[in-house]
Amino acid sequence: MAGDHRIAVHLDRLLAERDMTLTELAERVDVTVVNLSILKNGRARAIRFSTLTAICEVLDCQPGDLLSHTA
Amino acid sequence: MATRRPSAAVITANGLLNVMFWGGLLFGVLAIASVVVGVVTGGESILYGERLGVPLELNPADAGPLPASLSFSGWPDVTAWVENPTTKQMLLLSATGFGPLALFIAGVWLLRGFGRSVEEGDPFGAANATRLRRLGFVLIAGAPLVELLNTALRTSLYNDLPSAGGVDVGVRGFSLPLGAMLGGLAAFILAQVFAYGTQLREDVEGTV
Repeated sequence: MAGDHRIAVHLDRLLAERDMTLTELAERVDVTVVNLSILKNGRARAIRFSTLTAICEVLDCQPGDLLSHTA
Repeated sequence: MATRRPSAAVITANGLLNVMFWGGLLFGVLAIASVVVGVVTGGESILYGERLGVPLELNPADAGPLPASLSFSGWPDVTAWVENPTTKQMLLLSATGFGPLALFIAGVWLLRGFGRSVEEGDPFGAANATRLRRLGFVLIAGAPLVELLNTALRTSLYNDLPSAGGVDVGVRGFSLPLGAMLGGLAAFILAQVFAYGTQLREDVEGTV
């Protein structure tokens, strides 16, 4: 994880469970593949609520499924 | 990082800064060559030739009558022309130009780097905060130092001049270059603004 936070992003697992690629998700949430890749690899510093909403709607999940806090 | 064309104003400003930088460097080379020639010829430099124009101040009492509606404020500036100057006189007058020229070149060089980053669409980087701090230092510390040095040089030159034939002239004393120092303070403040902007940019770039 980049920066000074301990938030883990579980986008990889969610995509695998839904048999979806990052590119497909990017098209459906209207976020660039580059930015989603930054998020997936834990290098994001912040996520907009609008992006979080779009991802949760497309993946049919809760924010807590996507993000978790590590000790 | 650049996502849009730079404005014509930025391109023009950068062009002018480039002209000023290279012009300053060329003039510096010319000034050095002038001093070398002046030393070799015993006082006749490229820039000043056989006649040295020394900036002095004239006692208003020796300036002659003015119309009743006019008066001098302080000692007016005059130029004393010295024919066939000595090597020492040539060196002293030439030296007064090197300090301001060095400050000018340093300032323009820093602004060039700054302007280039703006033209590339990437002004909020750590380098620009550093450039602005250096510019601030050049102005706040460099300008008074150069003025102090030049005051000493002007005084030495004045003491080496021939008599003014009964006319009361003097040399300008030291005065703090407040304008340059104020500009330096502004540069330090802007440096902090750009440091903050760099942090904001990093936050934005990491936001999805």
